[in-house]
Amino acid sequence: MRGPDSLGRGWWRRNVWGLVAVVPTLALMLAAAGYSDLEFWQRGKPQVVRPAADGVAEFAGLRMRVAELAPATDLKRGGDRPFVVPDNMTAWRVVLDVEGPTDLGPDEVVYCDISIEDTAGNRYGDQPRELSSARTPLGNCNPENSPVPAGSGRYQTVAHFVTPRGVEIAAVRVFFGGVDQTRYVRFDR
Amino acid sequence: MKLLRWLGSAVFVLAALAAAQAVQTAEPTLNDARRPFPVVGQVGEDVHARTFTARVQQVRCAAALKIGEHVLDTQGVWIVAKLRVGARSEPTSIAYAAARDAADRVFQTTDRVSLDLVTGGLTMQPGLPYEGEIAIEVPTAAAGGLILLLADNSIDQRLDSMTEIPLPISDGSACSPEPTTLLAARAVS
Repeated sequence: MRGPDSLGRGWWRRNVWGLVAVVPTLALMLAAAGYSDLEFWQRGKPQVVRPAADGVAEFAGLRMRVAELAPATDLKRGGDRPFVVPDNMTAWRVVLDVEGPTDLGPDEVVYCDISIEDTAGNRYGDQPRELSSARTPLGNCNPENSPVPAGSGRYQTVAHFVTPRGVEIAAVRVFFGGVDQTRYVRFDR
Repeated sequence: MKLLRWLGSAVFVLAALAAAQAVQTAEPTLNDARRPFPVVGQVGEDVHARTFTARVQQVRCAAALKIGEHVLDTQGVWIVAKLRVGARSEPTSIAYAAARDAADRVFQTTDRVSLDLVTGGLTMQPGLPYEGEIAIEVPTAAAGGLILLLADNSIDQRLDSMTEIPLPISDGSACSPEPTTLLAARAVS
């Protein structure tokens, strides 16, 4: 700290603007550090892609719509024996009509992950342990698992879920993690 | 005067460096700063982690486990905890279960027997809880004052919640000499 300069200004007067600038600079530094954390957090929350007015959503090179969302009361075990869902649960079936390119090779199939969401915001995954004894197809958007012939690029994918009895389903979510981890398709009921 | 000013500046710089070093030394290590967020509860009460809820219903210790016709003995003791666990709002597994002793040593659940409830790949759906027992092998001297740790990630528990539930065993030498059986995981209503 030197003494007054030729204009008679002391250290504090000479550096007043620098000192004033320290406050917004610190604020900017903290904001920049926080922004990267905020962006990381937002990336963990995929954005919603909604279907058009006709109920069809286009995503990951596929066109899809929900053909069925209903309790599954006709599940079967091996040997075609009926599968009885425990009293405290409801089994659900989601059927998606899917339309994709007709000339896909086996390595070009786009896989999806379907889940359902109830009115309280709880999310349920397919292939639950509770239905492991039932014969259910893999609902992963692969045409090979379609219950109807996958002709002309049109096929179905079917997924099954369990929820506690009495739960109302609000939406079907379709996630294509291998294509885009930042968005998912949401069909509100 | 000039020499004094130069010496003063040098002392100031050295003091600043020493202060920075002190701050850096006093800071927690990266692993410490990112340690799990403890959620502390007691036996018999629901403990709510970020993704799951757990309740320790009973705890016992024994000199051996009886798995079918096989008896698994140990040089220490087996800690057996009966748990009721459930997913909170999305499909969840409890892939990490361990006990921490008074000396901060951590003993993970045994891999000598399959524990379906934790670490065994059981994915729970919201509102559909499971019950079952887990077993942890610990030195006899460590059995008193154990804390049960549960988390949903088997590999990395940092920056996420982890339940910490003290287990009411005071003396490992008082454990039952008889083999004890394990209750398998089952869905409960």
